[in-house]
Amino acid sequence: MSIQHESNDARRLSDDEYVQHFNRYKKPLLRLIYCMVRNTADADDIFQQAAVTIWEKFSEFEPGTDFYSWACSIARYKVRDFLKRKARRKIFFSDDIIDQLAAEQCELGLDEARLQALIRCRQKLTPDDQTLLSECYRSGGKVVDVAKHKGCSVGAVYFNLRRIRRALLNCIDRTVTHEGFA
Amino acid sequence: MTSAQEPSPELETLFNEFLDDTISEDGMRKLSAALGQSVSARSFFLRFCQLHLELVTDAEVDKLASGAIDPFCEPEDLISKSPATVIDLATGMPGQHPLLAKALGMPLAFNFRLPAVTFLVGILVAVFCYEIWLKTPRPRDTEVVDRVAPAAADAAESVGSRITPVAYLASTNGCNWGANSPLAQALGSAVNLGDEITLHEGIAEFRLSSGVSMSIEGPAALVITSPASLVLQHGKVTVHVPWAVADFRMLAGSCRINASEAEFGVRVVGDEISIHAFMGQVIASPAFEGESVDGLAAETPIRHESDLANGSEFSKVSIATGRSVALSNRNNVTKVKQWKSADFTEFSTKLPMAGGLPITSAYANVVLASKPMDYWRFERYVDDVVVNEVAEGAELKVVGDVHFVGDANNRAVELGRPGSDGFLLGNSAIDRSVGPEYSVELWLKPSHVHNGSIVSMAVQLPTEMRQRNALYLQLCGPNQTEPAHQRNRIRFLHRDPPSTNSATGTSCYARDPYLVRRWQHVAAVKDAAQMRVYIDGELVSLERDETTLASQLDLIVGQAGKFRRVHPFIGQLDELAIYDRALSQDELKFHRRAVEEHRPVRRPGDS
Repeated sequence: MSIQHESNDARRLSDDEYVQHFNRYKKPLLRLIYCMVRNTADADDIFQQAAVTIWEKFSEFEPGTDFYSWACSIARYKVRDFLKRKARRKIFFSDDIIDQLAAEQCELGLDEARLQALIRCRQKLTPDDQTLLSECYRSGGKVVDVAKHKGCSVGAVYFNLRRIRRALLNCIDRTVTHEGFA
Repeated sequence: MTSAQEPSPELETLFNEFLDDTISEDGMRKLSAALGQSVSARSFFLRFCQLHLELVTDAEVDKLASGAIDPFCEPEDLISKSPATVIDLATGMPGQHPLLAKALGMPLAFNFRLPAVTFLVGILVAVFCYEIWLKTPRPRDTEVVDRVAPAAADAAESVGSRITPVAYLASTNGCNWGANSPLAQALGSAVNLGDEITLHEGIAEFRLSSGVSMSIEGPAALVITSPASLVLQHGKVTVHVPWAVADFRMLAGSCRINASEAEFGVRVVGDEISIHAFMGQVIASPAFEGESVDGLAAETPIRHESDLANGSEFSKVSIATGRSVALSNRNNVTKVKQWKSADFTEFSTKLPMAGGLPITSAYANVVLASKPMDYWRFERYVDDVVVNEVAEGAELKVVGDVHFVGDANNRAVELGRPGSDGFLLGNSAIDRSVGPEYSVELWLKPSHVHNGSIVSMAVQLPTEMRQRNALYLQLCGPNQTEPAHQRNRIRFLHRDPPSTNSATGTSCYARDPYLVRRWQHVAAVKDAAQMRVYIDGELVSLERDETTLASQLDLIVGQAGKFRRVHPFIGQLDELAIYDRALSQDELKFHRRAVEEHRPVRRPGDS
């Protein structure tokens, strides 16, 4: 066994490019995976596996072509592999729907404007709504716990959570349209 | 991107149910059909998912920032069967339990589907809480707020809490809180009457507004029911009751404990309860002893250790300073299992981390004679680099905040102190080019039972991703979702090829739980066909694996992954040596003995 300093310039350059591309598209990729498996923990696992594959196969990526489409195809493959294993436990989307969502997600591309709009729209929520939203998401989806803490029914929490989501979505749509980001 | 066509209310409900993971199979089929037919539905769905994921991400970042979760491992809820879990709102079953509801100030519905034992525990808790509610003098809100930490009072006021804080969080170390814990998990956070505190892992100290201080060691769950009373559902606590608190009360399983001017520890695991009196007198009694239907307590005489032999039925008894009693509840009958000396070592919070490893240069010479590839003694570090005792060996770079503790005789590295985030990183990749054998040898002293990465060799992605482990020496935590033989054990993982896939590789788990706050000599040895773990020179685990160690691996000490703080090790490490061959048991015993036979001579003034 010996110690070697890692000083391969070619590899480092490749890593830099990978990091640049990957960081740019990691959120849309994660979103795509989540849409297909509807569970954040599963989505994170698949995302990790996809990221490893993308990194391993990065030398096969042709510069100048669409990195996101290429990465989407890998993510889609990983999701299908996952769904085959999980198929008996839970109903998921069919391959056709996955393909359609993936294609449209690729078209959707980057959403920096929407993310910025979300930050501003959250600030426009009433303090009560901000608190409820924060509590619901911090609880990891355990609305029962939030309801208990609030002293209200689970149905009431879901109702308000969905109302807030819709308000945020409308606000985001209005903001990006008004500011010409869309 | 916006959609010209809005989804129908029914479809939007399905979107929401999908995001909330409450969608039915039929709903999923309807959603699939709608998405297959409509471009605008897909567009809206994708935007909904984007919004949801951003909110999830924000929440995770918030929790990470507050130290609430381990980035890659948030254990499922543990076995806590607390009042809050006994009382299940999710079932929608009718009925109220008036006692607990009144005591805790919550409108709650009972879950009739829970096992009878849990039901009984619930009743016990309820009655105890009700008793406390009835008997505890309730100070005016202003009095209590004046006596708790200012931060706690401020926090309560700022959120307009209608419930008075009864305690605040005074210190934390490696805490991983349950999702249902209402704490903000920041120092000074307020705990309100009836709040359930669930700690999966780590140590937390609370100050009650009465002046009582209490340390919890995860996994544990409890409810503070008044400034001078609490219900321990499971786990370990140590409590210090000052003289000014006349009657501190605790319900632990089927046992009620009263104390004043005392210090004691309680451990509840399933139907087993042990109570250790470290200082002062502690009175333990069956939860319902002396209670009558009309609520008037009949006076029960206090018995002594000599009156309650092992195996006798438990009744009200005084536990003298320095003594402990273990109780066991079977078929609703609690019996005395064993009397013995109070044992500090049962409670991490009562053990000091201080106490250096008595190592001299004689030990170092023995190790060097075994020709390690790398050997870090943690005695010398220059410009944030720990010097390797092997001339051609790699250096360990200090990343973040790391402490070196000890005295002139020997020093060790301390990782994971509250507020510190440091780890050690090899400054060169390790390449195995000679044979499939290797050994990792070190001394370690964990602060408490937790999931901590001691040493790992892994392929790193150049981003904030999980590392692909090839070698992983780990402290396993108390996660109840893991098999019992893996909990609280040292794990040696060898994986070829390196991967993030936990289903691959071979794991060796030590036979017995590791000790906390005590030095232990640990070696992970891999030869051509076997993996072995030795603790203090004794073979404690053996597995078969004929694969080799991958090349070009990063060495990380003190956490898993160099980009994100995953599974931080909390405690002290020393004398880390890596070999490119398998050490024999005789060699390891020889190394271990070198410490015993060459203890340093203490000089006046040594700490």
